[in-house]
Amino acid sequence: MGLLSNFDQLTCALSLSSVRRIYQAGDLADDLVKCRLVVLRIKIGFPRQGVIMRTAQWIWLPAACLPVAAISIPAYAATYLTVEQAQQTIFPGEKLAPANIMLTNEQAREIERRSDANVRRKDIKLWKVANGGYFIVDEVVGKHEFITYAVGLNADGTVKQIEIMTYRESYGYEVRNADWRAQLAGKNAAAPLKLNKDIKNISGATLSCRHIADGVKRILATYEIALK
Amino acid sequence: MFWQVFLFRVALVAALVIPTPFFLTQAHADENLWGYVYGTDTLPAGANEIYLWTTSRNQKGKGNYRAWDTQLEFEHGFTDRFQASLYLNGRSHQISGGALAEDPDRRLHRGLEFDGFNVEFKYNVLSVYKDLFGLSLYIEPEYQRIDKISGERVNGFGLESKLILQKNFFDDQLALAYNLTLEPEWKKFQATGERERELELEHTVGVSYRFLPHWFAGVEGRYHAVYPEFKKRESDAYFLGPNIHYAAERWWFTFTFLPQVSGNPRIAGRNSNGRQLSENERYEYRFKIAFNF
Repeated sequence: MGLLSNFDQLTCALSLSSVRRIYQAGDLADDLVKCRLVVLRIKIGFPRQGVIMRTAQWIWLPAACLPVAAISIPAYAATYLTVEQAQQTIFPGEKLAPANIMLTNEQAREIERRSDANVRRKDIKLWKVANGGYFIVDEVVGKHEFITYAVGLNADGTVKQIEIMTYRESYGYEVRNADWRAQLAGKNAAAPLKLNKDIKNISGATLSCRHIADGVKRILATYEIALK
Repeated sequence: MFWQVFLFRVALVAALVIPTPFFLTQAHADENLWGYVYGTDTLPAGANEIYLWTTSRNQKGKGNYRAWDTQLEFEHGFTDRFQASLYLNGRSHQISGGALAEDPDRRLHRGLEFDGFNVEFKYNVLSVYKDLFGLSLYIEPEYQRIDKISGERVNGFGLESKLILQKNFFDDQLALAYNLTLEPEWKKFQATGERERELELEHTVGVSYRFLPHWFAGVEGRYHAVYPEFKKRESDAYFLGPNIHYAAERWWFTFTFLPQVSGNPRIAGRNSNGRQLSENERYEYRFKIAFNF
């Protein structure tokens, strides 16, 4: 039983028996080639028992659901803040100047050693604040996509504030909660930034909590190595 | 019988169609990176997931053997560490040409019929994201009406238990999991009244890597052994194959192709090529699709 016939049966919109009846009336009962060229009469609803599942190839039923899911579920990229909005949220009224940097291999290795977090990108999206602080846009790995967030550093290298800019994960949206983000404020490069130590975990959002905490730890190490 | 079959099919279709456009809000995930291997994640508290699984098992080295196992599963997270599921199972068979070594005359062409139900409980002991490794415990009582191999009518009970271990690497983009599964089964064949009991032992291992956002590819292996009367091992088989997994925010699918690579004992007079084809089949395919709501 080929794929086409499975599909015919599973979609069950086209009833071959109906077509045969039409052709029998026109003395064309055996002409199966012509039969397939005719516009088939569409039967709505369930066919009689045994028609769909005579071959029982239900492997195609889940596959048939994929287009349904793809069509019915909208795209979901959730961008909460643009770069400008994040800058104004963390440093309201401050003047920021772009100051991107590129880490050397040695710097990247040292940052990884100190933070115990992977340096995925050596180009750092950085703005210098007039009062001496820094504004950094960073990404960490989510379960399915990257999580984009911004970190504001005070002039002394401690965390002023973080903001989630883009979150596109299945779950873990709770990392946007102000209370959770607030516990990162004041941390410096010496802080452990470990879940259930100095950072509270959000149950059900553990992966996002851990990766953002690791990302902030890496940024604080970047400050020590490349910005201080 | 007609209404039983009809209602089961309606339930399958309705379960897939109804949640799709209406009830999908925010997704949560106990998404399955593998078809056969379980990960340690559980659904967050209050989250729901509905799955449809289809497993195709083919070829006994002689004649025609094709079987399809279909499971409709509803899963709910009671806490962030504990989830429970209800499965409704369907099964169909096409057997002819002396495919069954134990019963060469058996011919069966049966469409999808209600096979039974399972209840699953899974508890996450250690989180793979914040502990050294992930650890979950799983237990699944089941009731069965159709024998998996022969398609004969049975009254069967099983108790599947799993120890699930998982370790992630490279920012959780590479996942490695291992399952130890023990399943004692008791069944009575309706036609003959014969009773049978056995223990199934499985070791499964899987590796999966996120090669693109949303896309994971991996390999999974399975060792399956059967101990009739809970005593001496009667047969065992090794399976190894690739899988692909895609996850969007509110739904995901996983497809695994799992051919048997080796097994014992081999059946004389069959094109077994070193494989065990009485308790196992030559090829298995499994497709899962799930929706979160």
